[in-house]
Amino acid sequence: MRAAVERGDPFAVYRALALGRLTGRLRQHRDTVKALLGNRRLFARPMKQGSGPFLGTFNGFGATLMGAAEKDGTTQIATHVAVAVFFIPLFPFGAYVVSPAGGGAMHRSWRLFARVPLTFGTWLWQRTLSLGALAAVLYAGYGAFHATQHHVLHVLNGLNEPVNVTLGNSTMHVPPGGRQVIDLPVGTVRGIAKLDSGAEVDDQQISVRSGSQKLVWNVAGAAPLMLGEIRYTSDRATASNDQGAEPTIYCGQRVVSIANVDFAFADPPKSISMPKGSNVIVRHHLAVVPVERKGPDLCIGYLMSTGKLTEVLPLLELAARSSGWDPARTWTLLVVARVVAPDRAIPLAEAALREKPDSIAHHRMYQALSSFRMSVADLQARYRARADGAPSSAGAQYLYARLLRGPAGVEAVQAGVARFPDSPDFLRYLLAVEVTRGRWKQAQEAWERLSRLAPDEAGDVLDDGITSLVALGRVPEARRQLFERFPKWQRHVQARAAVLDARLASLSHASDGDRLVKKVEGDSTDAVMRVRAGLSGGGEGSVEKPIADYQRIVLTAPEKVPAAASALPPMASVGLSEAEWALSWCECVRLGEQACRQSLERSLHYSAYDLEALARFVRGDAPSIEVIALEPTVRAAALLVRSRSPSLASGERDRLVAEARQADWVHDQIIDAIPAWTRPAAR
Amino acid sequence: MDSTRRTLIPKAFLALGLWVGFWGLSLVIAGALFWVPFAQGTSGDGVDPLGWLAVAAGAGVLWAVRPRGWFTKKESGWAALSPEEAPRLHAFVQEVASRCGAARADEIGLEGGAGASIGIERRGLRRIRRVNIGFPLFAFLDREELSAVLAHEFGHHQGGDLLLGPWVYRTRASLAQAVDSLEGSAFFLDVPFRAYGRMFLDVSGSVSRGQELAADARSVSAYGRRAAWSALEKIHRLAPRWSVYLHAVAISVIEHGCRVPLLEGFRMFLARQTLREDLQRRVEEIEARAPTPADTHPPLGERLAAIDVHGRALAASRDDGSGCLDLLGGEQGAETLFYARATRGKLREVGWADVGRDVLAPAEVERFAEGPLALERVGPRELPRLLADWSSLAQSLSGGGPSFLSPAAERTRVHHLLERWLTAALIKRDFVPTLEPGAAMTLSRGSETVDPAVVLLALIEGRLSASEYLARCQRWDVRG
Repeated sequence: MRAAVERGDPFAVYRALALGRLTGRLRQHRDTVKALLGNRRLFARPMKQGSGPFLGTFNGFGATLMGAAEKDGTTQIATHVAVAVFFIPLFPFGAYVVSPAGGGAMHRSWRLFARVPLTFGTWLWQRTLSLGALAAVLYAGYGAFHATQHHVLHVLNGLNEPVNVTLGNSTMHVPPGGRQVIDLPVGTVRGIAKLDSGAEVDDQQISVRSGSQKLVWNVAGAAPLMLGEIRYTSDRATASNDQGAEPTIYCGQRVVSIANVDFAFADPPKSISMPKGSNVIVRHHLAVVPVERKGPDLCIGYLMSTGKLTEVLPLLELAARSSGWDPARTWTLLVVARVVAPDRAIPLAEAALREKPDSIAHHRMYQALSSFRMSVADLQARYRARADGAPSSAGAQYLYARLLRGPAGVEAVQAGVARFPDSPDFLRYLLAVEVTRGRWKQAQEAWERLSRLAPDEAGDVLDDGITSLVALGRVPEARRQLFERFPKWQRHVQARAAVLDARLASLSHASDGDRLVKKVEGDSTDAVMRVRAGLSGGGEGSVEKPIADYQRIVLTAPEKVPAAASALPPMASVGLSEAEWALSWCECVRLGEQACRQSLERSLHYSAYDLEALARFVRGDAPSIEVIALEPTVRAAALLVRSRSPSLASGERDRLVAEARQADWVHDQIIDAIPAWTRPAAR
Repeated sequence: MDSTRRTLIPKAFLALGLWVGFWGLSLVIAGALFWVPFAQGTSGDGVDPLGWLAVAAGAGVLWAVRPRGWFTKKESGWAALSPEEAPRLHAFVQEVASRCGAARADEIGLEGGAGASIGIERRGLRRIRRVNIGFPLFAFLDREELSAVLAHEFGHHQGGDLLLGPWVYRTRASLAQAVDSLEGSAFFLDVPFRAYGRMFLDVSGSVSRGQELAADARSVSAYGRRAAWSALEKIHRLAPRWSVYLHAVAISVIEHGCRVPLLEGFRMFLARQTLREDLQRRVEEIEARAPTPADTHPPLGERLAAIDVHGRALAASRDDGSGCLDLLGGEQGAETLFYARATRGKLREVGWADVGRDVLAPAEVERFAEGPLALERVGPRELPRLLADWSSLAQSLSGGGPSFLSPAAERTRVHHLLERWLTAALIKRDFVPTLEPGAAMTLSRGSETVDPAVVLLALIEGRLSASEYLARCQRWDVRG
């Protein structure tokens, strides 16, 4: 009280009195204090010169004078308050001795005489609000400061198993397909992601900077992170005309920093308020594309389809490893590795073999890869040692036998089948050898036995099996087998079966040639497959453009093949049919076009030794191709392309074309291509 | 480097530091508040309502500390005394300056208080050194003592205090303006400025007190301990009384267009054994004021002890002496110079003996010519009724405007008014008022002397009954 008086602050005196009354310290002066507190005019201060309180409201928001306390004649005490929403008083600024002048309740004019203290309760409320506001501003300041020193990192796990992430000193568990956030100090932080098995899947030096951009660590680049535009339009007409930009997909990108994101990993609102005169407002939405099956397949497919093979390779390796080196995934990995990182292909194949030492499929891939790096003698020696080390292993014997060529190879396969009659590997190899030798009955028997013992394996040599039946004149039976066994095969085998069924239907003048094609197509139409099947139809919209264009060139304009093959996207050759590939590759070989040839040698279907033997035949350096086991379509293509050599006599050329026509037992695309490919070649 | 310059440099740095500190504090607070939305916008998810609140608070701080009045022309005081008006004073002051080794004063002025000051004013490109001497000093200080006072002021000049003064003044003004603007700020924005202001006053007060002691030391070295001690003691003893006399007694008469003998009145004021109660209370309030850390001058005891710690000079200091009014051409001439500067228009000369009758009586009668206490309608007999129903009287006196007084204060106000009304009523009944400086006004008619204040108090306290009072009123109504 004394301090307030000495300070000359009447408001402080009033508050000191009120506090003294509340605490009972002024009990002996109760009546006096009560009288003093009941008359705030006693504590009045003059108005500051030229600085009256702001009075004005707009739509119920602003500041006004409220209340009429301690009326005295024509004057009263009113409180100056901030109001909002229908004049609800929010914050009391001060109190004044006023005299109301004209105007209504909400638009009254006032005459102000002096400032008086707020009632103690109102003052406490004001100070509480003030403290709250001060604390809030301080908190906002702290938050802003924190924001300049930290940034939120979103960690995405697009894999199909959980990862344990270490970021500096922090660790976190991210479930499959999940997302976690962590607040990191600015600077560089090392992030390591490991599977539960301990296998490391990612290791990044992440640069953390403050800002409003969204920082995302997409572990291994596996999650289909997408930045899309959300376009809010004022009317339906604008909406229908406004398609917006294509979304940006961040598959394969490990650490991304994305600016101008309005909605991050949250559903954007259905509608927003738009300023007048604006037809379209664009907002940016960052999200992970929802997938039915957790895992990196969507990103792998996206990257493969867009030719981003460098980015997809780590994902493929991760997918192959996490799948336990599934043969299909391993095959894709090795094919891509051969294209973008040739030095890594064999180490990867060896890594797969370490995990799957007895897998025939993996050894086949390894042999194919190795054939491009080592001599046939070395590879044979390696597998001979392996076969000698495991004489009772059908697989070891098969893997050695399949490296032998000519009579030795035939003898080895016959011996193998005799010793291991139930070995699917020997049976499929025997089937290929017998088809190559034209021994259709033996081939058909091998096919039947293989189909019984291992239907899946039989699918891999479908062309040989069906060709043997056709060569024996059993076309209806071939179609029946295709139709009955169709559901059991894998999808890529089903696609080939549908093509073969259509070709055989044409051969036998049946009208149901598209019965299996329709099953493969489902609700859509696959124009490329229909061309391969010799069927009409197929909308333009469903055509896979690069393949369709190339397919057209192969069948109608062989002189353009070398250039078109060289220009094919990196992995497009994998999507060609046997006939399309074989015609193209053989023509490139015949013309000595190395770029074109290498562009087509991306599949691991044939070893380098087989390709070289085939090349020698196409170039006319070898009299026959009987020494290698080729699918009938490839054999037909080789014959047809060899016939294009200008140095051949016309009789010889006709003979080769006739052989090609005959070799294409199922009347596949080779027959379709003959008219164009038998036109005189320029060179 | 001489000692003056050596002491000036740290003071200059301190003054500049305090000035820079104020602006630094302002800019840091405003900058911190503006930084919040900036950081939110650049590093966060955008500016939120709290960010906008910080912007508003930052703008409020900048608005509150905006420079005001830095370059407005300041009042330089009363017109200077020209050498023609006060040739002896000019010669005297320049002699003191010369003896102190200080630069001559460009101007010499009078001021109303019992003190002296020195300052530098800018007029265009010129810097005018002006010495102001308090009017009463001429009456109560002898030449030696006045020389000591002037030597003290020249000591400020020699110490370089005048160069730093404007910086301190500006900072003080800016702080005061900032605190005034932010007073009651919803966000406690005035708190840091109040804290800085307290620190500033403490620091600048401490420096200022040091400057005063240094100026005292220069005064002593020029005119000796006795003169310095005596001047200081006299000024501190007389200044509160002079202030009360001038403002509460003399000016209230001068306001009526009269010229009263100012110094004579003050001597009468000093000579009184007891002062009127309210005047005595004012004097005591001034004298009892406790020292604070913000004081620019040290307490008297400290200053005297610095001059002569043993107090040997005390014995010689009690003689008020005859002053040195001859420097202004004698008492009459001095007052002429004072009135010429302190007042405007032509004044009527009135002696203190006639002030009550010739000045105050007509004014009081005039005052109650109209209104609820009009003398023609309401006579002294009404006093008991008016006292009993004082609140109705207060209401009718307020004229409908707001009242800011407590009931007790309102009652006191009404009592004062009734006291003056009774005085006017008695004057109308041929009572003659007498006012001695420092005493209450008394009214006398023949052998009867009435002090309206005493009558009123007795009536209020019941020492005088209504019937007794009415009997006196009956006597008053009988004109002498």
